[in-house]
Amino acid sequence: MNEQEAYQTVVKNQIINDDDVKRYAKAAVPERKPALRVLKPVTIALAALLLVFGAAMTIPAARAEVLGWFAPSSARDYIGTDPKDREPVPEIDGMVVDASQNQTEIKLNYVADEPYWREIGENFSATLGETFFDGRDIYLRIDFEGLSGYPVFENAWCPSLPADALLPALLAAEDGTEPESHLVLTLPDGKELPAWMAAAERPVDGAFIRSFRERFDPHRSYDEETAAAWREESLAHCRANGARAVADVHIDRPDEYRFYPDNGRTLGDYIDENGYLTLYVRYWVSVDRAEPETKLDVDLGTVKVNMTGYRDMKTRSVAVENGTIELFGDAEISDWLFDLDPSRGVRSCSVDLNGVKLQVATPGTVDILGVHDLQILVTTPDGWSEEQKRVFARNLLFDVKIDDDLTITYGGGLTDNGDGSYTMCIDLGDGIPLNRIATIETVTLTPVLHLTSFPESAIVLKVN
Amino acid sequence: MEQYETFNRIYDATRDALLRWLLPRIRSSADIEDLMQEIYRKLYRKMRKSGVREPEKYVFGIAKKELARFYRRRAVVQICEAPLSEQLPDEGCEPEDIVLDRESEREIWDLIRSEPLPSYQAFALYYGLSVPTNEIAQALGISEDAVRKRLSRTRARLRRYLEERQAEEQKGAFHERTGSISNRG
Repeated sequence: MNEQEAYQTVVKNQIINDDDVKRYAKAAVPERKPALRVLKPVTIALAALLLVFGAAMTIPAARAEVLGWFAPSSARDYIGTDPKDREPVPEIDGMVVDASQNQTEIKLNYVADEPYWREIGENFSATLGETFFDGRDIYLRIDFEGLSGYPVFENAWCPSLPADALLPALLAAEDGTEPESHLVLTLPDGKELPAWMAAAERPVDGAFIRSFRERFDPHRSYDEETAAAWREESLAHCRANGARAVADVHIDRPDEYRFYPDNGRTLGDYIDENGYLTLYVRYWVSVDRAEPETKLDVDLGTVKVNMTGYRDMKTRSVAVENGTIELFGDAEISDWLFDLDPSRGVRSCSVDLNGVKLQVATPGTVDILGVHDLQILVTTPDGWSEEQKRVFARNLLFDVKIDDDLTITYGGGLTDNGDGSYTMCIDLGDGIPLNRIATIETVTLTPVLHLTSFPESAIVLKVN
Repeated sequence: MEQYETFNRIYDATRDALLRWLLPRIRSSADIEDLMQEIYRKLYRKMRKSGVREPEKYVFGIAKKELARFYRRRAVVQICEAPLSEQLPDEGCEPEDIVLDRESEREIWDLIRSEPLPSYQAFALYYGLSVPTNEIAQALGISEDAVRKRLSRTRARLRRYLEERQAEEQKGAFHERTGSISNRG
């Protein structure tokens, strides 16, 4: 073949492995699984791993480095980290309630009469940990001991986990179905707050994940035998270490939170005179065949949440140093325009960026958890079509630089103002290590379009 | 089984368009397969659980969210690259009669992947997805001239590899030939 044909062949064959992508998508094993070059006996491998990790944790410098890997950068991260493994943020600690001090007994309501689920049910054990309300979400940490933690990892593909973490136990049950964990927080009169639960990475899990990462060869395909080996190793990990999860319920304003069907009360009505909310915690696991089948149902106990402490959180104001920027030059933007015309596929729009203006509408505030409610008004020239305005706004990202060394790329949070302009609401309650928020001085926003940034056009904010 | 077939059909129909959309947006050549896997996994999961009315459109909806999620917690890594020369590099002679086996395909691909990200993106879009240079330039936010330079630079490197490989093969064939002659001798 000639040169062009050779390069075409190479790129088409190598850029992605279509069989792997399809197999991964369709497998009952829902998370990506690496091929193991060498499969060591599971117990020896795990023991060695924990020994090394334990040794590192006892050496001060190594421990600091290990803990640095897991520096919490959100309320969820903070609650999901054991207090002994995190740098304390006293303001948050003052609002946290530790449920483990008043642990009530777990009650097993139901377990499926199958060997696999019976084993989990008979040995079920979990500890309710800390709760925290940050003015927006209620967070609750739960430590599942041993194999009880196994189904929890099913939810661990959530965005709060590092995208490159390989999760150890994201596997189907023995019959090939996919377990799904559920958690609901119930009020004394039975009204429910459905929680979204996700696995929290712990140092042990992090080391476990990284050990797999080191053995992972992205160029090799995985096969059924490897998947089975992976599953066994993950089960062994769960038996030895269980899992930690963080459940959260988005509340926003308790005095405006209503239930369905409406009982005439808001969540605020359930808060006691000391500012605390009492919640019963129920956990169950189902598998989805023709319809959901419950496999396990457990009452985990009672927790209290401090619902008013957040009002005393210190906030720092933000001053605008450079609040309006304009863009220049030409750009090609692509998007799926299904909102405007369902029959169209991906299209490209050519736009002249001259006249595009990005302006700080509200500078937001900074509290102990991050940068909040920063709003940017996006206006485009009058000659643009509605389609171009919409596509541009949807493609726009910001590289948000915190002081000199941390950059977070942010996109979305758009509101159509109805007059051709859009407002992007930027909330960085997740992404900035909590132990450095108190010292933030500058926030710089550089617009990014299709990975091209416009560094000469940057919004600059100063935190007081 | 019907669902598998439907999924395969949707995959085949959307794969190239999705790659074409994703390639200019990735930050590392290693990310593309991870992203594709996650996007199609979520599509299949959704198809299994509650069905998807318009899967081709859904794929791109997932892709946008997955891209934002994928990079949201990653700090931007500034990659220092030597500035592109003003002149096009000497690419050498165009190789002819190239024979590829699995190993050489892998080696060539490793070389392509090890190129700076914009070069990898340009090469993959140009040769893998037949995207013209002017569209590549617009997708990557660089000039068409820069695209051509990057393609040229990558080709020069690959040609050096192919020449070395060809030289080794010829050396091996010579030894085999002389060995067989001496055996007969």
